[in-house]
Amino acid sequence: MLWFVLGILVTLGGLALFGWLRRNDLRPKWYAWVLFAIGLLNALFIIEASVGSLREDEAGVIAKLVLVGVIVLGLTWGAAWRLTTGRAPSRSAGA
Amino acid sequence: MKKDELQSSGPSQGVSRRTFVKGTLALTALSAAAAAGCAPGSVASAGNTSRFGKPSWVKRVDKYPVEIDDSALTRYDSGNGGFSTAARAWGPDLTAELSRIQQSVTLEGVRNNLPGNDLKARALQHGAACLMYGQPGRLLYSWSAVRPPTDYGVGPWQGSPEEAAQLVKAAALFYGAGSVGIARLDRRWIYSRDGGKDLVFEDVPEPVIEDTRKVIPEKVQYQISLAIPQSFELIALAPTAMSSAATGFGYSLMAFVAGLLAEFIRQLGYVAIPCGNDTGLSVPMAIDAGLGEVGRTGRLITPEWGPNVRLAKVLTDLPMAVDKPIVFGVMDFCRKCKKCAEHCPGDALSLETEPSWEITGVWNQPGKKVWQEDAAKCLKAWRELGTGCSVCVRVCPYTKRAETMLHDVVKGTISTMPTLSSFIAKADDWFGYGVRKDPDAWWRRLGRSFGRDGF
Repeated sequence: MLWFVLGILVTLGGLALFGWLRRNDLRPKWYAWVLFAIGLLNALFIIEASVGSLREDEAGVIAKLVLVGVIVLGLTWGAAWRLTTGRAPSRSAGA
Repeated sequence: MKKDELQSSGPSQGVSRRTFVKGTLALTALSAAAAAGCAPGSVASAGNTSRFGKPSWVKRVDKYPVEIDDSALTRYDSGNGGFSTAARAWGPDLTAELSRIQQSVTLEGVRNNLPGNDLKARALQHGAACLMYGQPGRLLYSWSAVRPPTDYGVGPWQGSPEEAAQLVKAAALFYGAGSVGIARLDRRWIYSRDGGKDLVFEDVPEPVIEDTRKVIPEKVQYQISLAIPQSFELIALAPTAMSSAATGFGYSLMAFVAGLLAEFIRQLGYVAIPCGNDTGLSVPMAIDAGLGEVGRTGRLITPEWGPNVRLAKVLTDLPMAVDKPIVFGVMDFCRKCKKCAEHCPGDALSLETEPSWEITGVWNQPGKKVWQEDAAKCLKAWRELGTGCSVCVRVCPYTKRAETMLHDVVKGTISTMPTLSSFIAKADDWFGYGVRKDPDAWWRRLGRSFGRDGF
């Protein structure tokens, strides 16, 4: 059930992301996609681990899992964002 | 040294910024691998297991994975066990004093309604353990058939050793074993004396318990080791009467599972001797049968439930295909971790990095290079606590329920990348695992049937 819900959310998020990229005429480099994918997989892993920790009565673990997850997510998605949006103005300027 | 205190919130240890960053990067790589479907197998996801039914990061080996000195190894007299000999080490005065303390602490817990040691906790403990009081050779541990096998006129069951092993494993799991392994019977692990009687092998058709001897038939060449998982929720309350309920229930299930499996084998037409802690050393027998590795505590560490298991075994003459010992990095991890020894209330566990040949007392079997436990110190702590302990089981990083793939990723990492072991041991503390939980909350949260919260 967890993976079903996450699958729907990831699909909806992916559609929104592609739409936003197209509207803004952004074409991320392949390594930006890799960073994005690592961040996404990390987020899914942290969500799975947090739900599992709740079942294990290890609620205290969740805060730290989320902390680590947010840091990794911030680093990977932040870098992907900068790599993508950082070169967009120069592309449109050259066009 | 970190000591486990009764009212403490458990382990806590600072992690440097560098270690934290290192861990963050490691977790990133691990999470990416796991989420991409490269995660090691798990109990919960049985599909991702190796061919021999263990997680994919577990390796089979041909040789017993502990150094043995055959010149020093002799069959163990169970009369040398800690429960029989600790009082000798204490001396009469300390023994009397410890009895007084135990009684006083027990009464204080009940009369003052101390969480985990109040009347309902004691009732849970004694209810859970009531099947364990079947003495070796009697009741569920009977050495002869409970119901005489029916003569269908076809003789004993016939089949290949592989088919026999499959039957036995299917029956053992059905009766309630968490995992089951089979090995040739190594007589070095069978006690020389047990319950004040000599244990001998003779050419007799059936096992028999006499006044001064227990006779095992020569034809009994196989042993089936059974791992019985204990409740994780109750062990998380250690050291209290409620964690002792987990242990006691494990003992009851040992009798139940081993007794029923032995009767199954007898009904097939073969000899079967069910054993709890009696008759032989359960840990080395379970290692032979591929159920796990020995850890710093001297207990078996299983890949699935860590040390949070009890062990039983059935000796039989039914020819079966045997399993091999397994390794998954436990000895290396225990060298670096030491959490059990640091938290042991009795200072009973070795803090030395390397295992040793030097025994600490008659309770250790000589001839094995392991971390030697001091049973007198361990049982002294029991008396002072007024209950069984199990703190070493609670704090062990291998003691994890299988509700998230995180634990499989970590165990797989320990097995395949031992250089990360120190970091993983520290991270286990930092995340807050092994902390003692609130005993009263257990009653409000209806747990799983049979306490099987590790499945």
